[in-house]
This record gives sequence, C-alpha cells and structure tokens, in this order.
Amino acid sequence: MAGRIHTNERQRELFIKKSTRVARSYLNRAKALPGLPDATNPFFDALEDVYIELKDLSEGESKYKKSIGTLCVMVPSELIYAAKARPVRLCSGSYTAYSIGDDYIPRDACPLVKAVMGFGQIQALPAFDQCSLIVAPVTCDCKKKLAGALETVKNIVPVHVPPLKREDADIEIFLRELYRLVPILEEETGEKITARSLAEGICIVGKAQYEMSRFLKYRKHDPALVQGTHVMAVMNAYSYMPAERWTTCMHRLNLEMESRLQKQQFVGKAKQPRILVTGSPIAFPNIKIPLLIEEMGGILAADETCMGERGLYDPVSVIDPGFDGMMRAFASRYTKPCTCPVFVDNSQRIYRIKQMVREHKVQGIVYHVLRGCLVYDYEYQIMEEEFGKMDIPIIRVESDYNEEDVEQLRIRIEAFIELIKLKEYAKHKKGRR
Amino acid sequence: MSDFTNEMKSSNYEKEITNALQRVAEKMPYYQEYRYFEKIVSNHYLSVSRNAIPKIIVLGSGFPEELIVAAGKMPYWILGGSRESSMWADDLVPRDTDPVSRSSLGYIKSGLGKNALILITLVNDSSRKLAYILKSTGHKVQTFHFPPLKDADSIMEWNRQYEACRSALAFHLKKPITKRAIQKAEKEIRYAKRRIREFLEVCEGMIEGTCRMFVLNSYYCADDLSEWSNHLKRLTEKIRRERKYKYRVGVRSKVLLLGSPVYFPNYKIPFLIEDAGLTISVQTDYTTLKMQSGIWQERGEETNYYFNDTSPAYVKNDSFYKQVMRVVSENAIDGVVYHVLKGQIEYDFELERFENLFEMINVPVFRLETDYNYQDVEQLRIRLEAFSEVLNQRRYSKGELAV
Repeated sequence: MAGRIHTNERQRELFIKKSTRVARSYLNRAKALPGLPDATNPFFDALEDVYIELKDLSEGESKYKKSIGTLCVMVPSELIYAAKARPVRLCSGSYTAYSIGDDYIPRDACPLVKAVMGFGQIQALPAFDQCSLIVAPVTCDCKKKLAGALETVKNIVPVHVPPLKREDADIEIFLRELYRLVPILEEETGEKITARSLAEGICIVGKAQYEMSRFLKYRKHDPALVQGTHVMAVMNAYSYMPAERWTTCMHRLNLEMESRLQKQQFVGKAKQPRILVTGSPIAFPNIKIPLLIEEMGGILAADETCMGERGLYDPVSVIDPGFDGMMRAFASRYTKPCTCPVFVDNSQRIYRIKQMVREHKVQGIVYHVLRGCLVYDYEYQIMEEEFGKMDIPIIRVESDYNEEDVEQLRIRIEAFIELIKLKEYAKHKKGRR
Repeated sequence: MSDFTNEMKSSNYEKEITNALQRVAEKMPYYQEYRYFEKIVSNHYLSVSRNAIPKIIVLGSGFPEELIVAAGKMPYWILGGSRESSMWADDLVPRDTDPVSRSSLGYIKSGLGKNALILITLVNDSSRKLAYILKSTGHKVQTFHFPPLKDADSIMEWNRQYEACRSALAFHLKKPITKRAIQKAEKEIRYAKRRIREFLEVCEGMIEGTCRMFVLNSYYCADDLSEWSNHLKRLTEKIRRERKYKYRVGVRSKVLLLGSPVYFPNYKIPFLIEDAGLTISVQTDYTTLKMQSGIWQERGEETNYYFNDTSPAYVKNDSFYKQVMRVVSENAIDGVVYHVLKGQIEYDFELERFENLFEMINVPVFRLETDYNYQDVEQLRIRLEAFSEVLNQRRYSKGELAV
C-alpha cells in the first residue's frame, strides 16, 4: 500500500478551501432550520472548530495527555479516558477527503472509509493528525482492509470484533482484545490504567449517557421540541468534544428543552410526519439526509445510527467493581446491545427499531445506505417485511459523499413525506366515519 | 413458484453445466484417465436439479474438511460458481453482493439445504449475512469465522471453533467424531494434497490451464476422497509418461492468474485468457493454495498453518503476498491477470500491493473486474487481446520470440 502522498501547499490550500466551504454550507443550512435551541451553539461551535476553523483540539484541554482516534462506536471510550487521553471519533462525512481517499481505496468501498483514508493522506485536519494512535475495530470488510491500508500513514491498532455475540465465549474474544489494548494505551500516554481510573472513565461517559437519556425523553415529545438535524449535529459533536464538556452543554440543552416544554414552544406542527432514520452512519458534514427530511416538511423524530443515539443509549453495567469486572462490563456493553449489522444475528436491531417506532410515534422510516455499505443493505429486506406488517412505510435511499444526488433524493423524500401525510389523512377520515 | 418456472430454471442450469463441461473437454487431450473427473463434476453439479439431499453442505473452501471426512462423509461443497444459481438468489440479496455469495445462496434456496447442516466460513460481510439469512429461514447453520488478526489469541479462537464444529457435526450425524477418526481423515487428505502437488508439477506444457483448474476443482465434487486421489495419481502418471515425447515449450505468453478464485462452471475468464493467446501458467488464489497447503490439526503445526493461511479475511494478508512471491520466483511469467469479482472488495484492496511488487520485477499487471454475466465478454476479450499483444511485444523486444 502506498505511503502518504506528497502534497504541495497549493493542493492543501485548495483542499482546505473546498472542505471548509462544504462544511460551512451544511452547518449554515442546519442552523437555518427553525427552532434552533440556543444551547446547541457549543455543539455547532465544536463542529465549526474541527471542520471550518481547523483548530487544534488540544487547546485548553491540558488534562488529556494524548488524542486517541477511534473508527467505530465499539471502542470503549471509558478505557481511553482511563488512560488520561481523549477519544476522537474519526468517522467522517467529508466530501473533499472522500475524493482524496478515492485514489487510494477501491472504487466500490464505502465513502466513509474513503474519507478517513483521505484525511490520512492529506494531513489537513488537525483533529485527525493530532491522534497519536487510532483504534480500529475490525467490523466490516472495508474497515478491516482500511486498518491494513492506514498502517503506512498512522499508528493503528486493529481490534477484532467477534461476528457472534450470543455466547460467553464470543464476548471473551472481545474481552481479550480490550486487555490487549490496555498496555498499548498505557504506553502511548504513560499513564497506568487502574481500577480507579476505569471507574472514573465509566463516570465520565456515564454522566454523558445520563444527560442523553434525559434528552431522549424530550426528543420523544409530539409535537417535536427540537429538529432532528440539530440533534444529529449534537450527536456528531460528541465525536470531537471531551465527554465532560459535552455533558455540561447537554445539561444546558436539557434545561432549555424543559423550558420549551413548559412554554409549549414546539418546533414541529401537530400533524407533521414523524420520521426515523436508520442505516449507514450519518457523519458530519454529510447530513444531507436529515436536512432534506426536515426541509421537505418532515420531522426527524428518531435515529438508529451509530453516529447518533446508538453510541450513547446503553450505560456500562458494572456488577463486579474490580478491574476485571469493569473490563468484562465493557466487553459486554460494547457488543451485546450493539445493533450494528456486522454481527451474524442482528435480530435485536429490528426489536430496537420497533421500540423506537412506538416510543417516538414514528410514521415512516428512511433507510439510509451509503454506497458500498453492504451490511446495511442486506438488512433492508427484513426491515421492509417487518415494518410492512406494521403498516409503517419505509424507503431505501442510497447515497454517496457528493452533492450530485441531492435533487433526486429531495424528490424521493418529498414524495415519501407526501405519502405519509396522505396515509394519515385517510386514517383520520376513516376514523371520523 | 410454478412447475414450469422450476423446469425452465433447471434446464437453463443444466445447459450452463453441460456447456462448460463440453468446452473444457474440447481443450483436454484424449486421456481415458480424465473421464473420471468429468463424470464426478457432472454428477455433482447436475445433482442439484435432480433433487439431491446432502446431509452436510459447506460454503466456501476454508472449512477444516477433515472433521467431515472423519465422520465418514464427504461434504457437499458449494463454491458458488454458477451464473444460473446466482440468479435464483437475485431477490434475496442486495444488488452489490458478490456473485459467489449469490450463487451459493441460490443453490441452497433451490432446496439443496433442506435437511443439511450448513457449515459457513465467515470470511467477509456477505458470508456473515448469508448465515443470518439461512438461520432466519430455518436452516441448520454452523459458522466458522477466521479471526482477522494473526496472533496467539486467534489460534485459541480457531481451536475453540474447531471443537464447536466437531460437536455440531457429531450431533447432526448422530455419530461421535473421535480423535482417531480425525487422524485417519487427515492422512487421507494429506495423501490427496500430495497427489495434487505431483499433478501440478507435471501439468506444465502438457495440458491447458483451464483443464488443470477443472481437475483441481473436481476435488470439491468427489464422493470418495481416496478414490479421487487414486484417479489423480493415474492421470498424473499418464501425463508423466506422455511428457517424455509430447512436451512442448510454449510459444504463448505465460500469465499468472491472481485474485478472486475461479469456480466451475464460471470459466469465462480462463476461457477468454486462453482464447486471447495466453497460457495460464499458474493460478494463485486462496482455494488453489489451500489445496496444496497443510492441515490444521497436524500436531504442532497449528501456528504454522494459521500464519500461512492466505485468506483475504485478514487485516494484512502477508502470507498471501509471500506465497505469490514464491510462485513468481518458481515460475517464469510474462504477465499477471488480476481477477476481481464484483463485490469482492478485499481482493481490490490488495491489488495495489501486488501492483507495486510486479512493478519492481517489471511484470505487467492487468486488472479485470467482472461478474458471472456475459454482457462484458466482448469488452474483456478486446482488453485481453490487447494485453496479450503487449506481452508478445515485450518478449520480442527481449529476444524471446523470433520476429
């Protein structure tokens, strides 16, 4: 595999110009949606710092010795915090980095992997370049081979994720991998990971999960208190903000939500179609799907994606507070409730989405498939069958990291929203008779 | 589905098999010893449309077969090379699924997997999702996954799965699989592998690459492994005898066929390569290399076996790279055809590394991407002919061919 490309200043400048322009445009579109809560500003600022200002993430964060990159939600961030480092989730939606990565990764690979490779090559995103180490769970074929390809440009630690998770022996595989990770992180940061530091890590992430669970109660409200695109931005910001800061900002957002609820200040209308997005990750700046849904008159009531709720909805449950007990709790938490389709048996994803449909009063599902993301595509058929039985319309939208398909997607999403409206109207009419 | 549709499907499938058999037979010199291989391949593939009900089905060539041989059975291998069967699964898988997975699923859905225990090696995304589809439709499935990192933990994991498969097989066949039986099976497989290596040594310059592939492919069609080995021995001896006075130094450019494995009856690429005036001097893919390598449970050899495994299922496939370097050093080749089946992305990821290797030794690499359909045949033919011309020109300039 080729090493890093040699870019001249001009190429880097062009890359940065184009990349920041796209990020700014999506950020502005998201902010322009009505009902932006004031408390979301720090989250938008975080995204702006990473993708537009290209800021050094370590500024003002001296308590962290290093930045450790992760390429999936299956890496326990508690473990990284325990090593006094800050986790940075590097799954990106950058169109410009994607076009750079396209030269190094096979044509049919997924755009997310290409974008990561693009950043590895161009060295223009401080958030990426500052990571002294990248932990790359071997989940799908593309990430597996990406781990091998990135080796030439970054210090990579591949982590084996078992394809089955039913038996204890399967979880043991992941546990062994986490134990393998401990000395690597210790060496990287020079900090010993102890039972105490693990407990601290659990507390840090646990608080974020608690605020998230509070927020979810507000998100379920019908009519909606907050736009789904804003929520996606908040969730994406978690990738780049230290958990403590994110938690504090989230607490403020929850207070604002409470106040909105009391004042009955809604962003959604009573009969606005409530839509759930599931499927391939929606990573900033590629937030075109949530934006299109809400620009076309729908409300993104829930999401079942790894860059969204999935990363934070289950806290680590510690039964034995010893070091091994906590490590086991991580192994369990990061595999068992995970609804990623890389697992052979992923029927729990259907149950989870059904649960979300009920709780969030969802009327339609947008199934997002990134081109080349085969594992999600495989599960579409079963979703279609299951939600067909429940009379919940579902639409599969395939997309890539470019803006060429936006108009086509807009028409399809608009038609889908119209369909939901008509269906609700017919139901209402039938009810009156 | 109506009987008429079923009949149509099975007649198209039979046509595909018989056409491929016929084309291979045309390329093969008339050896009586060869007929056995034709017969077993024909029986194996045509049994699908004759309502065969195998007890054990294996998807993929990476499964430790000694476990099944030890149980007194030969597995019914489904390698997934049929265009027709891939169409049977069209509605069940996403558009971008690779044709091997499509074809394998098509075979099982045709009714073949009704009462069988289906053993699936989890080497890529499609195999994982296939296992899920089959499990959720009520099939008995046992998986065997290849840990993607080669370390001591992975060997432990491999051993655990080996034992789990042994128990599942014993339970399904209602017959214990003893250590002694496994040792006997290993002996039988080792014998077959020795015969394969001998066969490969004598083939060069005597039979065409497609015929060599076909004979090797027949391994996965044999009902009786000892019988197959003995027939291969006879064929090897015949070729060796003939070699003394029929061996000819080829004038055609020699290519190494690398990348996605080619499975019968989808011989589109080897046929095209030979039609373009090239000789497939050697093919190096996972299945072919595995047929020549050792066996997992050879005592004390576990580490060796695992570390030398060449499956693309690993993060870094260094052992495959080393094997290719060995093959290149042992065979004089003029060019490389890198075959990528659409959807088999792992092979595409590995291409760049091989391109660099062959660039260093000044051997041109030709990447072709295809699936099981015939729409691209003419385009591929033109490209391969051009590649053949390039190779010939290079040989002229080196003085290997007379002007």
